Amino acid sequence: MTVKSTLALFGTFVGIAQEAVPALVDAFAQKNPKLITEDDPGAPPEAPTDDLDPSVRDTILAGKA
Amino acid sequence: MFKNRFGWLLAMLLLLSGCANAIGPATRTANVGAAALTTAHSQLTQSRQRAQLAAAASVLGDRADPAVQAAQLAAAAEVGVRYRPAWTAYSATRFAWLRLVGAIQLAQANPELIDPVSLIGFATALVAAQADLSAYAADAMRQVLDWHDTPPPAAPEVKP
Repeated sequence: MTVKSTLALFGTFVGIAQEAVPALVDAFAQKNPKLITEDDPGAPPEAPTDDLDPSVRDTILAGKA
Repeated sequence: MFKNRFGWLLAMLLLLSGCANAIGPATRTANVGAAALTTAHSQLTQSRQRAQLAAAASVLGDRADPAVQAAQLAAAAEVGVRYRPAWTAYSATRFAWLRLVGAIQLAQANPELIDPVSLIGFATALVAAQADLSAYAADAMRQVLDWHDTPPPAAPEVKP
């Protein structure tokens, strides 16, 4: 393993840790966590069905892109 | 290899947390999965927006000209196509999350029917799907970066 790939791997782990650790700490700190369901505000939204982002389309059609 | 190791690690964590009450660890896994999915959705959306605006900006010509706008829309849509695999992986991960949430809700409603092995299986599937999503999202972003290095012919100069 080269120095470059080692550094890249380390950077990846740091990036993941920055995102995931706070959520993990929060989740495991609760003794009886409330389950997030599809109807809750924290539920992940559905994937977009259109290849073109609606705000990008609006920006282009407004002549501002 | 990574996702198998990660899945095994999660399964061991759940086992160590105590199979006697599998609902708690499974709920934590589902909630962390929900947070990770929401973050992934936000990052993919922002990345796609930036890439599509950059593609539209690379089209030369009068911004008020409908022909130029059509070329801009085509260039932006082409970028969107490169994000399709990542969004498909996102949908698969979200489905794995919904399946785990459904199993937890069923177990909560019927404590006598709790099956720790199924809960661990659904939780492991969710983590495996998240690993796939990370790979596809990284691939989409890398493709767009490569695409910017060599602009495709889909962003032509439109003359009035």
